[in-house]
Amino acid sequence: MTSQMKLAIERRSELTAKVKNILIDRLSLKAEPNEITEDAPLFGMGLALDSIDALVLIVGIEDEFDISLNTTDHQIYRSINTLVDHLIGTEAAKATHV
Amino acid sequence: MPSAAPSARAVPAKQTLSHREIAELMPHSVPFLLVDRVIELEPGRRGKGIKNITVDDPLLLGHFPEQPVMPGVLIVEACGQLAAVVCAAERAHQPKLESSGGRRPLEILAMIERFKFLRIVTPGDQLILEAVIGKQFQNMTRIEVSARVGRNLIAEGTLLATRGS
Repeated sequence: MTSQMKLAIERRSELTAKVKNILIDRLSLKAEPNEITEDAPLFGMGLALDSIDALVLIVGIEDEFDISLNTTDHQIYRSINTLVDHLIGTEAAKATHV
Repeated sequence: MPSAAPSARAVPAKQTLSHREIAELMPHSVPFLLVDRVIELEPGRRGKGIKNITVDDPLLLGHFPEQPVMPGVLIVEACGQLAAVVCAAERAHQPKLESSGGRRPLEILAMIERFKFLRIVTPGDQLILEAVIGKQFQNMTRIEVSARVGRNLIAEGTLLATRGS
């Protein structure tokens, strides 16, 4: 495994942990981070969030990462993994503009 | 001198609203319409409004008989109503929905995310309300609101509202 891949995996783990903590803190979820499945749908079956929870989560992520999230592309909000994918993409885009 | 060509620009949105104009936009009526006048308006974005507090306001009669104080929940409601006016003003020229029997959708308070009350409001006070429309997701909208009397901040908070019909 190259050091670049290792760094990418570590960063993904960090972002996933942060998103889980935001979920737990902002939505007062009675769950431990390791009980939340990264691939589980955020809405409906899975975490069963509603649109109120979603907006609170979006604002929490924006505050934490100092970014503005697109709220019209609902694919971003399918699961924690898709959210983290988007955050990684945003970081990569920022890095190429610096 | 040649005459000026007629302007092709659209008529700008109104920047103030009288009580009558507010009542036309809102489903509420006296005594529960809590915005007397809108003094600044950017439809769909932000607004500033006035609510005058009077000793004979029926909403204050029992709160409290010896010392009338505007209930905090009504300050939240007034702020929420101003936000609803800001949203309704944006939709004022949109076609009415067939599915809702011709009625325009309402803004329904969905969550008081946080709210802080710093001072009491008594008869004679003029509340200056402010609402700034924030992030939206699906039908949910986040709104930052505040209420002042003069320069004093009375209350401020964050509300979530949804669009019902």
